[in-house]
Amino acid sequence: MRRSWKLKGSNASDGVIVYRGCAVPDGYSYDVPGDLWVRFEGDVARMGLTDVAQTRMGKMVSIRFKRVGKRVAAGKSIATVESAKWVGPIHSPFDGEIIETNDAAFAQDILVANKDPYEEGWISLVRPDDRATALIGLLTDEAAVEAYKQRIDALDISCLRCAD
Amino acid sequence: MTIRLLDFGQVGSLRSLAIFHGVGYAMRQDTPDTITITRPADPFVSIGHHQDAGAEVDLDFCDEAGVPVYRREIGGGAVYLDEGQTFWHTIFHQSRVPSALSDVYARFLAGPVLALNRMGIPAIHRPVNDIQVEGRKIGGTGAATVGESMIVAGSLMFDFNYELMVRVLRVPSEKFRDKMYSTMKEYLTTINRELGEGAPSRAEGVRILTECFAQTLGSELVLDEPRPDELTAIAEQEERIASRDWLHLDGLPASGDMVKIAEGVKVIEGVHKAPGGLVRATVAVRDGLVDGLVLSGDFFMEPAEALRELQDALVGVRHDADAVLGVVKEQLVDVDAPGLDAADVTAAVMAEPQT
Repeated sequence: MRRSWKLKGSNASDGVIVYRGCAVPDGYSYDVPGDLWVRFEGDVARMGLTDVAQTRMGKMVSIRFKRVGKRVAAGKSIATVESAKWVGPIHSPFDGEIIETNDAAFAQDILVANKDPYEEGWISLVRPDDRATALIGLLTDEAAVEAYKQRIDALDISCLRCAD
Repeated sequence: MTIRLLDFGQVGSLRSLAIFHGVGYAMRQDTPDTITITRPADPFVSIGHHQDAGAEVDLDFCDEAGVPVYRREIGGGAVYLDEGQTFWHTIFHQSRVPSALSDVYARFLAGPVLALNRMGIPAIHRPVNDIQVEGRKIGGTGAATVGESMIVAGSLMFDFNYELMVRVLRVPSEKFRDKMYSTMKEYLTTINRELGEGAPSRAEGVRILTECFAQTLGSELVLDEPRPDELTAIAEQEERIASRDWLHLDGLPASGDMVKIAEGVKVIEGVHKAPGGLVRATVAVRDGLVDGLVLSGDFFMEPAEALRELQDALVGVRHDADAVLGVVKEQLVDVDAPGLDAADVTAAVMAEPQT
């Protein structure tokens, strides 16, 4: 049985579960198979790569964002990322409109999602067409942690903040 | 589960790209894992997924020469390709490939490496994704998630047109192009160069490769035909890849108003003997800034991408010893380069310019 432990995040009420080095912080919703986090902020949703995602792809070398104002359908990409050895999309879990992208942070430091996937390294802000259905398929709290533990075990990976 | 082999033989260059994209996008959980083989009938330039076509490639030259430029959904740099290469693509459902990229490459490069060995070439897989013959690369490889599939791409590089490869690229100066040519000739080899008269025919090469894929993947390869939905997806990809919107993703100008290489560019060739080996630097300097840089030599640097990252990091840096030293020091943190320190690299980069 592998151990997990709880760290205190910057917000005293939020904790961070760390399992095999992979952080799964509280306060986020997760598309676990998509290795994506979503944080609802009023009627918009901020999205980014999880610690597992940034570990699997390795150091990012470039990113291309779907532009602000564009519509994105569930399962379609909000951005494509390229690491030294791989290219792939980041998928939106729901239909919506892109209202902001974090291109400035990546322009300043392309490794921002490798270093800080849950805060500074967010990818896009999307307004879901329907907030209620946007939650379908996303996991939170204990359910998210349990699903992520299973995924981490299935993938047999340990997370590294490779750019530290 | 058997693996499907789709051998398309010789096809137009656009189709050679569209095939693996289309088969990738058409893949579903219940689609059998597939290996495609294609050989382009005509030359083309393939640029990396995130490259700026106009900045990397001399589009005017390609236009005049009738060489099309296409963007691929695989990373890496621009490359000139022609019938000298036979492409292979492993297109597996992403749920059926290892989770770590290093393991993905280990699994899918084993076949091509074994095939080269069988042909009589002492190739090895040098992690993460290089196939090397005594320190020289023999073809390039890459990976991408396309739809539900994970694609690993590579080629049997029978022949390579070094001259046109360096000609199609946009470079700071002709001198830089010359240096790039000699560096490429030194560090990139081909099946024909290694084996001469003893090189297998294309068909024989493909036969050996598919046998080796079957052996290393532990599964029979069954020759098959593409399904109708795959053919539709391939046709869609042909249209997309041929479109100007896809080539110029950011709406960048195709050509004409890109900055041309001007007078006032100096090219410096520096050589410095470090304890760990000789360091050669070819540096293009424009308006006091490093505009382009190639580092080569017989030193050792690990990880493999560190050298390219170092080169990239130096572009745009002021061409003075302190500025260069600062960047090199930063880049060499966590890099294993025995007998080579930041001062050695700086000495090569800061050599006195030749006229």
